[in-house]
Amino acid sequence: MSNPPVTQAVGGDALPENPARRRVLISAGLVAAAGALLPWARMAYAESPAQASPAQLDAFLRLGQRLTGREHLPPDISARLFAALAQGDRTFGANVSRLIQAMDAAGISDMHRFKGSSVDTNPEMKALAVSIVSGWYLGYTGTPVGLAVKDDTQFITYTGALMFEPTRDVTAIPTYARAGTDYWAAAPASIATD
Amino acid sequence: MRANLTSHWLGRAAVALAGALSLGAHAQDSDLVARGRVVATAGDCAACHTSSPSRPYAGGRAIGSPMGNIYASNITPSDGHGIGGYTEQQFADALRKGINAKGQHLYPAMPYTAYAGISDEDMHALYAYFMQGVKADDNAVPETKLPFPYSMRWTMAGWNLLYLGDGIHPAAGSEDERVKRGHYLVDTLGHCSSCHSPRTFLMAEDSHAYLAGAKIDGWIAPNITSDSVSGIGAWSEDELATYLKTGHVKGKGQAGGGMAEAVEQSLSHLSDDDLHAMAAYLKTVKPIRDPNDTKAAFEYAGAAALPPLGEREPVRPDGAADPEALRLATTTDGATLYAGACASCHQPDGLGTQNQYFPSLSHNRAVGMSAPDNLVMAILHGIDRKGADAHVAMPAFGRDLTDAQVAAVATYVEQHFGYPDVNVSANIVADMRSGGPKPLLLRLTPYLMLGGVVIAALVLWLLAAMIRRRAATTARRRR
Amino acid sequence: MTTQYDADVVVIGSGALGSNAAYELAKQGRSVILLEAGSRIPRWKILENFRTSSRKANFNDPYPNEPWAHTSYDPEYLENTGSFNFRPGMLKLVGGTTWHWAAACWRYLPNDMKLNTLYGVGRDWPIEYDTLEPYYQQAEEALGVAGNGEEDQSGQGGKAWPPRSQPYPLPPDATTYMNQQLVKRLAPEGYHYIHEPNGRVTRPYDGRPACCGNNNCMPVCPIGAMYSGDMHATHAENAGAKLVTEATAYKLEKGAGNKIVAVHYRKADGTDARLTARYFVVAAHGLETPKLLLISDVANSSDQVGRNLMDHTGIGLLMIGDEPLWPGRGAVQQGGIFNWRDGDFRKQHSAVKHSMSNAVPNRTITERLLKQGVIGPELDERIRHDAARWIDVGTVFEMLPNPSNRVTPSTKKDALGIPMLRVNYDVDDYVKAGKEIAKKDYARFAKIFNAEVIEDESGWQNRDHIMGTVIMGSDPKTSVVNGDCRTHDHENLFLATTGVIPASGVINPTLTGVALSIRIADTINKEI
Repeated sequence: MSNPPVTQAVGGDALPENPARRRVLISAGLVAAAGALLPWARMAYAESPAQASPAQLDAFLRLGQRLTGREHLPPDISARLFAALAQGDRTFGANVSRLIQAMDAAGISDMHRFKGSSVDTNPEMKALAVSIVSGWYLGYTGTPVGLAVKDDTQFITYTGALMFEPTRDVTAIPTYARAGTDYWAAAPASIATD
Repeated sequence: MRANLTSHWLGRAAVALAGALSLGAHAQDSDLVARGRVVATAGDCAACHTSSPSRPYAGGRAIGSPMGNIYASNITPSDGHGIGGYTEQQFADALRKGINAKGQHLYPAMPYTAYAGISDEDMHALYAYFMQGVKADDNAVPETKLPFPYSMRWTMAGWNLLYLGDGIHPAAGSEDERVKRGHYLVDTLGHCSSCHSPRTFLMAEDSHAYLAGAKIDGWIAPNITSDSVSGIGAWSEDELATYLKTGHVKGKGQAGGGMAEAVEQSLSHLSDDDLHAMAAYLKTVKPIRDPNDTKAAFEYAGAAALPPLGEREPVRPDGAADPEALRLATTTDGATLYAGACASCHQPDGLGTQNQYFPSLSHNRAVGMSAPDNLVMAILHGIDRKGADAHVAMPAFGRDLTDAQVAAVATYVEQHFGYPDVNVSANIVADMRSGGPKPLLLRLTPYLMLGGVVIAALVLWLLAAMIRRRAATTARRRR
Repeated sequence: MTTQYDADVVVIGSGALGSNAAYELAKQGRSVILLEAGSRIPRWKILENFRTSSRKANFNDPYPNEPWAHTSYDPEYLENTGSFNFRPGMLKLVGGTTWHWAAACWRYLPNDMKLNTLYGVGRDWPIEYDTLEPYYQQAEEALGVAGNGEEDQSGQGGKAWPPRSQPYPLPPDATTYMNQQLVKRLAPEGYHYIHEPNGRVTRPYDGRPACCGNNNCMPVCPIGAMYSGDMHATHAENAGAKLVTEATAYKLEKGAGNKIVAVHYRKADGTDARLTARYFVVAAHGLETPKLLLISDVANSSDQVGRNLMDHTGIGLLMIGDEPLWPGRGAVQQGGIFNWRDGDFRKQHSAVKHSMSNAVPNRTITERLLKQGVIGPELDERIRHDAARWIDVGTVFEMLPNPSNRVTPSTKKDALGIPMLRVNYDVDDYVKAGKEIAKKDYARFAKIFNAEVIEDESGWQNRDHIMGTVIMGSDPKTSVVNGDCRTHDHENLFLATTGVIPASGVINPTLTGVALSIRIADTINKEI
């Protein structure tokens, strides 16, 4: 069902010596290239994030950790986020790779260096970075529409949503208890320095 | 309907006299009544005899024994419906001998086998309290009618012959004043062994397994001997006293069911000295070890790792496309049930809130016991407990979860946070819903009765045979 | 003449109002059948649905929108023809819409019930506050209301008001640190910040644990500390009522003496049933109740059924204040500013109530920051900074009854072939005038807190309080029910819904609805 992306059809192993085989491979590559442009092949690409390779997912996880400044993020949630963002976007996998390369090239090992960098000022790269950070922080992708029964949002995580972390010492993730009845009458312990 | 009219009228005269005397010695009686109140609290009379908090000691509460409902009597000084006509002797006989003013035997749901040890001073104070410190309430209590053969109260006389002692289990060694006080509070007033000691076939406390734990109404009253593995030996005296006062100790456990009531109505009101005395005594009780126990229940913290986050927070079908998925609540997946029903308070990692207002499920005796009874009971029936520090409640999930679902979530909790090898089946849960397994005596009663009839028939036949033979012999001798 | 009935009373709708009526009737030994269009869903399941929702601000999302029991955000189910997208949160399941509310349990003021006599606008209630007072008390006990009975809830800084015959059943929840600080800043400016009585028990009560601040009242209380109507559906069942789920009433059948003789309902599988009873109570909330009457052609000699639709349509203010207040600790709301709750100004403009949200604000804050492209360590810092200082004001106005604001059956039919809803709703000038006052307050608030205003032109917002659609009055020509909530046209048909409320006031109407429902049960109990 999945045709390998065009780049892999001609990259990878060296072309074999046997001319007949070379011809077969090259024509196979051309067919693959042509196939990539056909509508049903596009759909296959849209599906292909589900078939994202372990290496891709691993790289995406490490990218997420870098972009959010977290040492460890849950790999299964990361894979889920990849699939959600890649849905309907066959260039997603490639764009992720380009973002990783761009961040490496700009020396952004740490997000303190992100502001003003070449990645920050590149609208396409910046938007992609924001969309990945967004998925991790909000725990969903897409745009919620109020007072409707459907929209394009997809669930990523709830307790893993990083937006709650900066205030965990003061407020709970809604639905979870934090202490007992009336704990809220006291000022938070951090109030003097907040 | 009073069978013993003479003693009734004598009793009333005595009360009137006592009342008249009390008018002259008010200050003294106030102290006596106050002491009586302490004794009544330590004895937890209210646990059975108070049905509605606005009508203290007015009785009417149905004590659910395996044999049927036993209605606690009205022990307010009401003349028509309570103990207003009781003399002090009759009062003492009821408590120490289990005989009421009508001369009827009480069922040992009334722990007179323990109260038999009440000191004379405490008895006197208690009487004063109930006659003067409690408001008369004319609540009419339904009659207790247990099924045959348990309806025959006179059979208690035989039972008492066998099992009514002095209300104090022999001390393990020599006791200083503090431990002695604790001993008296535990055995006599607290009557702790009426729940915490297993019962023999004839439903008496098994003195060979004193405080070794027992099943009560579906709950397990745990082993509170000084054994460090099966009992409370590894608890410090402070921890034990705190448990009695508040109903919970971090890293050890919390009280539910009947113990929650005992904490609320009795133990949380006792002085710290008394609580420490009880704790000190318990630490001297002969240790009894369950050979199946390898470590203390509170030491267990599960064996299975938490499922990964993605599994605990699955992508559900979109409600817009599949409303059924939002409606159907039939899953028996333990992780899903735990997340929806338990994690809000006990947290996804089972460790409770930081201040342990909602306790950790790891290092929690109820979850670490090798039997899941208390965990299942807490899930089915919830917990409502007012200790000295807080009034806490866990809702009952019996209505919102099926037997299979309770079994699944209890299994998940045990495996991840408690005793990992425990097996909770839907059958066990069904048992707990109805109040636990019935004692052997009750289960065998139909057969025993049949057996009794057979034996009676045999005896009669033997008697008849003996009489016939005698007659024949006599007839032969006459010839 | 002995007629056999299926039940003494059929109650249609198992929300807070219907379930309380059913319970009060069953408690007195009446045979009751309680019909519910939706299903019974346990709390843990709804909580699971919420946590795995990708649209947490959508409070209907955790509840199934069934083709035979729609929830209100479905535009196919509820279509709007007016200038405002009237779309209240409304649910169909055992327990009804109080599964997601914030449990605000105010009583109306005596003056609220005399709007026309005192201020020359709108309508009066046909009954007095004193008539309703004992039922308010019963409703508060049923819901487990915790409140501060010392304050002047009319917001004038006077003595305790409205008058009470008994104290609140439960002591009030402790004032949050945020509210303590708000009062400190607002009181010197003349603002009366009143503690909100609410249906969240403050100690274990009626099998419910005490609120411990899970901060998720909307859309579902995870532990049942907050009242929801299913609690009385359960009480009603335990008292002997028979609950029939997935059963949508679609016709009230008239008979001899202009009494209602039967209700027809359709199961989710399409099969029909007919139930006879001595009395019928329709408790299907403010949109479905009039719709049922209209499609059955009953109770509408006044031509007022479905008309006079009122909500507490409001506006909102978002700003970042100058001191850390830390909303999000405790329940989602705890009080509001009541200066404009009552007074002569109601001759000119609507009453106004400002409520300060205490919900954890992280999602809104983070969405905003990400839209600005903030990522990296700055994102964490600003989330914390903004979350501590977030001030979210929800303002509420009182609408006047207008016959052209109405709900009618739509031409669209649901999966059972039953017509759905069409609403026409425009915000009136009375409210628009009130908005001017609110905006002035907003400007003052921003000044008091030295705030960075994020949004003060929110546009009109739904407040989910459906009133007026089966309006109460003493004149059968201009109203649908009398002061007992009995329809003028049919002596054995009662309506237990906030839809009877003729003067909306500016407070949440649920407690009043429950009080009226308990009174309906009382009335019926006396007559059977």
